[in-house]
Amino acid sequence: MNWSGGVAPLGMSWQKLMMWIFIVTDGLLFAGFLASYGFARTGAASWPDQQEVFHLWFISLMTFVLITSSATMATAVAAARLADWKKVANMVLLTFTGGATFLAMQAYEWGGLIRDGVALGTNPWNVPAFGNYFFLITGFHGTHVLIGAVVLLTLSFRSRAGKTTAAGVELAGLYWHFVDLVWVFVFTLFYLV
Amino acid sequence: MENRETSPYSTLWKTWGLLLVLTCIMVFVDAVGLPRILLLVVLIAAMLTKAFFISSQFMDLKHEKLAVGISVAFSILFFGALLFALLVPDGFAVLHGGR
Repeated sequence: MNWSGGVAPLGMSWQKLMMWIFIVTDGLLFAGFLASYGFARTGAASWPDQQEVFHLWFISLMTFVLITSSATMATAVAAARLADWKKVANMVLLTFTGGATFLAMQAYEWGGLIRDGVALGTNPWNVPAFGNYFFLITGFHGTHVLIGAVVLLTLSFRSRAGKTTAAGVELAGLYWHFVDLVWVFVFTLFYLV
Repeated sequence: MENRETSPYSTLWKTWGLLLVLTCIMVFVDAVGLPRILLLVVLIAAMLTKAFFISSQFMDLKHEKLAVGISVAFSILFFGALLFALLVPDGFAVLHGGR
């Protein structure tokens, strides 16, 4: 039997549906990382005290930057629906700036920890799993931010040139909010708990 | 093309403010040193609340069909919780050297 189309599944375009399916699979990837981190942590005799290892005020600032970039992205999506392309281009550029700032801060954080002797397999606290999961989880998240930043910079220029659509901006927005959403879980489960 | 209402900018920035307040609460309770179980409950509740507001307001799930939000939230939360439930108790078993 042939499905000849006509009714969009779940009432959304196939592009948006695919983005949601991607988000679910990518979310499960991070759920897998965080669950195995939970396993390693409960299986470790001790775990470094995050208050001592990290500068939590700095990590909170990174969280602030990422949440703010998510808000500017949501503003860009709303502006795109109103066809205010100048505002879209500016807001997307601001979102990109937030993402780039986040990455710079993360590079600074990684640099500090590496200088303190944290590496894959070894660290000053003799809990190998700590360094492994730290670099794995924040590294994967940072890679997502990096990919998003490249997309956003391109999107900003394309919006300014009038070459993009509201649906396109919305897809980039969904991805960017997802990256923010993952950080909410990483920040809570890795840095605070 | 989908025809839908758009959230006004002010709503989005209110959500932003709420997320910041929740983040401040989380950092604060972490710093004051609550009992471990209580800390976990507060942090996880705040984390899930943040996730709810980001997905419903920023990712616009509130304007999608309910089935979308339910499918996405169920898939990630259920299977995520299942992974935790299967793996974390094994961590305790490893730690205590038993079965």
